Amino acid sequence: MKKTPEFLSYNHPIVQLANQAILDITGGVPIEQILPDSAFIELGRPTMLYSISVELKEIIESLSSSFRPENAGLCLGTRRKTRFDLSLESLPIINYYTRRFIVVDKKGEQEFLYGHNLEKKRIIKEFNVIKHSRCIVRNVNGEAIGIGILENSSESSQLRNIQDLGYYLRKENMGLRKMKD
Amino acid sequence: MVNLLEKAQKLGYRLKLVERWISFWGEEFTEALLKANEQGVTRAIRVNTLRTSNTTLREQLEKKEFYLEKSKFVPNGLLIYNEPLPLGATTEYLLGYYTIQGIASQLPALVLEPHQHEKVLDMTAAPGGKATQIAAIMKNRGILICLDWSPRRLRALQFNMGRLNVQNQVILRMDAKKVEQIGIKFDKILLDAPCTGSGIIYKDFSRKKSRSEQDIQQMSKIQKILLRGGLNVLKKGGRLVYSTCSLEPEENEEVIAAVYSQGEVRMEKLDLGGTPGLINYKDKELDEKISYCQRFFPHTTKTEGFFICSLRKV
Repeated sequence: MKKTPEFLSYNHPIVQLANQAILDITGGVPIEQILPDSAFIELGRPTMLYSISVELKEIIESLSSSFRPENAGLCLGTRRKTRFDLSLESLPIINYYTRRFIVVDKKGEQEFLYGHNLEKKRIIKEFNVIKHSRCIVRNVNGEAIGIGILENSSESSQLRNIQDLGYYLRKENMGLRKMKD
Repeated sequence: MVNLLEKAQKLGYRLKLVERWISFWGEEFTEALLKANEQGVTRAIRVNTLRTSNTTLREQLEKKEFYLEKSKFVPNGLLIYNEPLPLGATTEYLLGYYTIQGIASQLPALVLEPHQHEKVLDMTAAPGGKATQIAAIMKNRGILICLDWSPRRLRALQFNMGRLNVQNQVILRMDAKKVEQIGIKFDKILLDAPCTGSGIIYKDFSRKKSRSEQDIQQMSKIQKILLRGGLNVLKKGGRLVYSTCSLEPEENEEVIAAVYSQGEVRMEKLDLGGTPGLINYKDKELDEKISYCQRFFPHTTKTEGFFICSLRKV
């Protein structure tokens, strides 16, 4: 028998961990502002935190306990021991609100999407970025392409790639392609 | 006929399959179908309106020297005539601005016409082309429940839901044949049924030979069970759209006829630019209303071979 998922509110410690990650990356925008009127649940393996609407919460509650969803609403990310890793899916909405980001040039965009770190010269602009903290990485169109950390290496500063949208492609190439729809 | 069968054999077809087609549609039609299967159909994408607009995406892709043309069948379908980069590797693809989806495959969600306040079920949702389109039409409101059984296909579904920004979804791992166990009644249901896939031979030549008459009959049985299950969880007055990428009437019109004859559904007449459902073939004569379905063929509509039917529960 599968267990019915537990619904979490904004003040639940796991949601607060996610909130801290969002506060850090946005420069102070709280989860309630980005995702108002939401409930939260943890689903799947590895366990991910999802933000769901009131309607989705009600429908999940109405399911018999033998049906535990695989996925629901918006995937916010994964809880680690002491921190929360935001998902790629959450990037567009966080990008909309963030006050802290880096803009990279065309070449930088391509390299970043290949999963590479970037040299400082690929950075066009920095907005409220704090060294050694996570921030949104944008292309010249203002689209979020990933998350990076600006740091100093021994020779020069660089933008370390934490995660990028190219992961979708790398994941597809691991066997999700060629599926009939 | 001998000439055509010889040609079909050279092309690697199971002859029984081509003989069937000749008996349904005649030699000239079948020959054109075989030719179109060799030539293929133009690749297409669907603009994901949850992430961008038709105009913005066109501009972005045209800057990268893609040559695109709007489809005459669907509002957000673009035909790709020049592809300087692989379609699945552009930044716009990664940003979820579009998904690679055949034009005929974009029709079922449009026929379903889901509304923002409705409960919608996609019975066989993975890998998610049609489910993500339903979510886009619903503007991420209401409820979209997606079912699939295979863990591999579910991973693909989750991946596409995330990339394309679908947020009104609940994915359940379950065999759609047991759909009644969910205990929910739906306003709209899409059943894009598993099939022998004879409509997509142009992109998978193995299907010229890999499916036998027995497979068609077996698939037809499964499709009837799925359709029956779907109707059982559909609200009165609700709509169920049935589709396949098979050309075989046993998987299409015959499946519809089996439920239509029970008087529980009304056929909705479709006019999508395809051809009417087949009602006279072999020694069979189906109800005239079954012709309200629509068929698409690679040589007539330059799309994947496809079948669509819309049923309203009375």
